[in-house]
Amino acid sequence: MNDTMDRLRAADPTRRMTDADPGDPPARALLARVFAVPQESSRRPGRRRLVAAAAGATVAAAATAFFVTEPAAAYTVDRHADGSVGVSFRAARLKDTRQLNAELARAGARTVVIRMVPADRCTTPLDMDPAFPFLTTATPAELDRYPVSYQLRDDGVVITIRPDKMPDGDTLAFGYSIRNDRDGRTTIAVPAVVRTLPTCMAIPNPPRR
Amino acid sequence: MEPDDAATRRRFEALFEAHYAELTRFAARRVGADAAGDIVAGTFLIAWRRFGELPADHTRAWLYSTARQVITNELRGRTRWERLTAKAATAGEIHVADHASLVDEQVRVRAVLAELSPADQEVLRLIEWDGLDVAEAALVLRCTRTALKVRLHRARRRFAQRLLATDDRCTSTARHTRPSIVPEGASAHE
Repeated sequence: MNDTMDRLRAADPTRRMTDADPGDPPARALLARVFAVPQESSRRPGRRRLVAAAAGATVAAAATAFFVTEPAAAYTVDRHADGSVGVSFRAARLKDTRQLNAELARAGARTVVIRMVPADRCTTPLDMDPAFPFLTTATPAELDRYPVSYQLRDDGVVITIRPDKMPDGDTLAFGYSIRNDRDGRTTIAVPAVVRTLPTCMAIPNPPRR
Repeated sequence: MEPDDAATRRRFEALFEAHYAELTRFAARRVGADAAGDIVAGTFLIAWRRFGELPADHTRAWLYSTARQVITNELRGRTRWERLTAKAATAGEIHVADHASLVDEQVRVRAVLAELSPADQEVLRLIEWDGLDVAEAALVLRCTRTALKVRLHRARRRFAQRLLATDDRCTSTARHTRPSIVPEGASAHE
């Protein structure tokens, strides 16, 4: 048994990998991004959260939670002069996505908001554009390449869509769902650049912490 | 910046520096070196947000447990998981391509590992590759130490049985080369 365990240890795929140095610039940049995120204890009461289980553009947001701006209306859509579209929405009040999607279409966002369903009710994988995988490195240049981003502001997170960054024929499928947990109500968001618009999107597994 | 904030940041920075390298390896073993950075980033983000809740005596186990959840959350499906795991499993070949026999051995050992159940694979990775002790691995897998010991014993037994069966098949068809941990001149089958 010991011999087989020695062989298993020798087959460690990282055995020849050089130790990552926490002093290297990418590591320090990561630490700076981490420090830019508010700690949980500083969360303002009465706010809702947006969890972006998200595309590469939102690596920093992929496994964390942000407060989402809560508009008085169920949603807001703002087209900016540079062609980008700013979106905020109150998931709990968004009973029907048709109006929001019509508004997004009018704004030229090439984005469809979809309420996600449990994974067992949606087993068809997304037809993702391979140019925009969920996992990417998080260099600023690569983040800038993605058509969706989140901006932390004093009043919450604003979702900005850049339709000009999507190849022709692609659509941003923006899945969302609401989870009630001990932290309160959380809006989970999954933005995916797809080649074919999905009929459904599955809720990602929540991190158990 | 408030003095308390500065102190908190310094403590977190110390944690970051202490665990960055090993967490990168942990992630690379599961999703490949290319994607490991995203997992590390997601894990430290959660750690920062919940810094006040981190257990001082089992920080590494907490980080690994969180990293596993980040991986699960990001991959969102077995298909992608398998794709990335396969990528991670073949990564070693690229780096050691000039050691054909070693590559052959490593690929075969990893293939045997991949044949086990996900639960068996993970307990073996945690102990044999990530270097956790029983107490830490039990925390990561959210089970008791006793249960962890039983799972580990069974996983080791199943792995050994399969690996030896593979060895038998290989020796019947080709000369078998043992890994580099066997001193030169030693018999392939002591």
